[in-house]
This record gives sequence, C-alpha cells and structure tokens, in this order.
Amino acid sequence: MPMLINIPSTQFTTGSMDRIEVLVKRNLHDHTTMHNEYLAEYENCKEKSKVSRGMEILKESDHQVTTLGDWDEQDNEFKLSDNEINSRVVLTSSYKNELKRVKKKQNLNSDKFNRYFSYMCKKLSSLPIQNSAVELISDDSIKITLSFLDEKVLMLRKYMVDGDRENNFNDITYSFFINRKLISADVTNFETFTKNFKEYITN
Amino acid sequence: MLQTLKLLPRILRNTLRINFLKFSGRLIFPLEILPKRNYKPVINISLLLENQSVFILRRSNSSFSDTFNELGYLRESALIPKEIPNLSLNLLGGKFKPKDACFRIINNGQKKWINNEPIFLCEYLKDFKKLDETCNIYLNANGIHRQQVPYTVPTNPHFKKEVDKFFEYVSKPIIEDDKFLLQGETNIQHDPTKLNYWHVEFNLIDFKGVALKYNNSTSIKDFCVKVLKDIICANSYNYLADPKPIPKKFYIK
Repeated sequence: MPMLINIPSTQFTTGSMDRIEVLVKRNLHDHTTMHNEYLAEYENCKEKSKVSRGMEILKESDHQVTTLGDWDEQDNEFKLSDNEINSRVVLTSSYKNELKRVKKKQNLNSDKFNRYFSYMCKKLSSLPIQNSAVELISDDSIKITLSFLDEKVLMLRKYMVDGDRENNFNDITYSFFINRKLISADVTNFETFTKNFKEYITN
Repeated sequence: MLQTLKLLPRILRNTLRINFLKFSGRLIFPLEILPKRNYKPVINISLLLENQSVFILRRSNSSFSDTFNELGYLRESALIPKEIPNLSLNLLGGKFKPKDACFRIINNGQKKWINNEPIFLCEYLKDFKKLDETCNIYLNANGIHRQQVPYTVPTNPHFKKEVDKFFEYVSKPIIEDDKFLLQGETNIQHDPTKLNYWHVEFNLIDFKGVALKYNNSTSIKDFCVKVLKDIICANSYNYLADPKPIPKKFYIK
C-alpha cells in the first residue's frame, strides 16, 4: 500500500538540508519509536550543516526509505541523486495537493491512483523537473504536466488499465511544447520515452 | 428602403421594449456583442492572426482551483470531452469583453447568424441566462490555430479506398498496426450566432480539410482529442493582459 506522508509544501525547497529533512522525517514517520533519537541526531546534523551525516542517518536505518513509502521496495531512496530527490518531492507535493482537491469532491479509488502515480513518479524523477502539476482525471487516467527550463513543458497521460497487461501498462500519451508550441505528440512506451527524453533534456 | 419599411414595426417594438428595460435597469444583456448589419458575415481568422496576437475566451462553470492547475494551465477536466471538436469560444479584442462571459446563450440565440439578418434583442429575451459564478479561461489563439495534430484511422476497405484516392498524387500515409497515421490541423473559425457576433469555434480539420465530427469514433476520441486538449491547455492563461484591439477592417463591411 503506498503511503503518503504529510509534509507541508513549504518544506519542499531545493536546499540539501531541506531535502534531507524531508527524507529523515519520512523515515521517522515509519519508525515512530525511534523518533526522538533520530530527531536529536538530525538536529545535531542540521546545526553542524553536515550533509553527509544526514545521509548516514538514513543509511543507519534498516528500513529502505522511499519517497512515497513502500511502493517500490527495491528502490533505495538514499541512493538517489539530489536532482532525483528534488523531482520526487516536487511531484509528490503536486500529487498530494491534487488528491486533497479531488477527495473533497468525490470518492476516489486512491489505491489505484497511488499505484500508477508511484510508477510514473519513479520514472520521471530522473528528469530535471522545475515544477509540476498532477491531475486525476475521472476517466481513470493521470495527467502530469512537467515544466523545465527554457519554457519547455511536457504533458503526460497514463491510462489506468485493468489487468496490467504489459503492453498497455507501459504505454503513455505525451505532448511536448516549447514556448507553448506543440513540438511532438505520440503514444509510446513510457520507459523508453523517459530514457530518451532525459538524454534530450539534459544535453 | 423597402426592407427597412418591412422591418419598421419590429424596429419600433424593439426600441420601445429595450429602452424600457434599459431605463428600468432590467436590461442585463450586453447589446454590443449582437451582430450588426454593417458587420461582415465572417471574420477571416487566419488573416487576423497573421497580423496580430489575439486572445479568445472560454467560460468555465467551475471554481478557479477546479479550472486551473498548480502551474496555471487549464485543467483537462475543465473541458468536457464532447466539446472537442466544436469547442465554443469568444473572440476578444472586438466588442466582446471578459465580463460578457457570464451570459450563457441558449435556444434560438445559439443559432447561426446568416445573411446579415437584423437581430432584435426583444425577440430573444428568453434565449440567454446570466450565470452567477464563472471562471474565465484565456487562450492564445495564435498558439492553437493551424497546429498539426497526428491522428489514426483504422484501415477498413471503404476508408482505404478514400485515402488511396486522396493520396494518389501525394505521399502515402504511414500505416501502423493496420491504421493510417494521418495529419490533421487545428482550426479556429468565426461562427457568429444570433446573440453573439464574436463567437468562434475550435475544430480539427482532417487530412482532406474537412472538420472532424465527434461521433464516438475511437480514432477521433482516443488520441487526437487528447492532443487537442493538450494544445488548448498549453496555450491557456488564467489572466489577460490588455488584448490588442481587432482593427475594424476585419469585421466592418
């Protein structure tokens, strides 16, 4: 079951300490019994601005921390780069805001959305995202809008298919804009597209 | 002259009724947006967009947060699937002002204005409604007009014949998974209605130049509608700087 932790969006800044704070607090959320000990360590770390010590705190835990909880146990969050952590934080914040908005209006199968969002978030976190917006669309699809430097915007839509058929599960519809002008749109394999798009956007 | 004489009773009745409503403070509809007989039947949108930037307005009946996402782009859910193609919009920069978007035109008021037909508002007083809470969506017309959109159509025998005929002298379309991969184009067309001269429609033109209709066809519904939505969302704004006025030569005869 995906787990979303309530961290105010004001904490989602780009500084290293802030990101570590997010990670540590997430970790602590899972280990409330160890809360005080970790918090003291964290405060100590924060005071001394020892970023590496912050990472060590995470490594000391026997639990594999993930940005969104245990949706991917193989994914060691502390192995992620700063950029990846930042992208995940940006995406998660948008997703949480959207969940909150939609839940006020209708009953939502949030497990299903969580699962698909987690899948997308994991792949998209490799991209240097500046900002994002998530939309949960009633026809069982998730739309993620990502903004990058130089007025580049990527809109991705993932349909939530039943049965997880391999072909459908990996398919995604995308539209890519520069200065709001459509450059490309297609239905394609999500993993391949993300990999290729990362190469494009980082070069 | 003869035509004016024929219309005289209607002109008089309209003048009396509208003036009465105006002076009693009960005239709420903006008279400025009505078609006038000295207006051109249709504004050439492509020519207009070649000359200047133009914004168009779409009314949303949802709240601001349900209309725009965190990045300030239009939410896809603020558009109803059946509205695309044939998305109804209002041209700004002429007589239509953002405050006029709170009027929903219904019944006969929605019918197409043709043949310079004189419009007397007193005959349409039941053909509009004033909405209490609306949210205005501003779209950059230059960004959504004439955009290439790929779409697919299953290669059934009848359609294959049609496509083969069309592409006899031009390059053949790509066939993927038994579907023709074709190029369509977005199009904004002036579509004046009896109660709103500034009404325009957003459509997708197929490979032959004909407007695609929403007919539950998966080829239209599935992909090109999504791309159309993305184009609209990417060119949406939740605010409007002063729109550039449309020169009179584009709409006055």
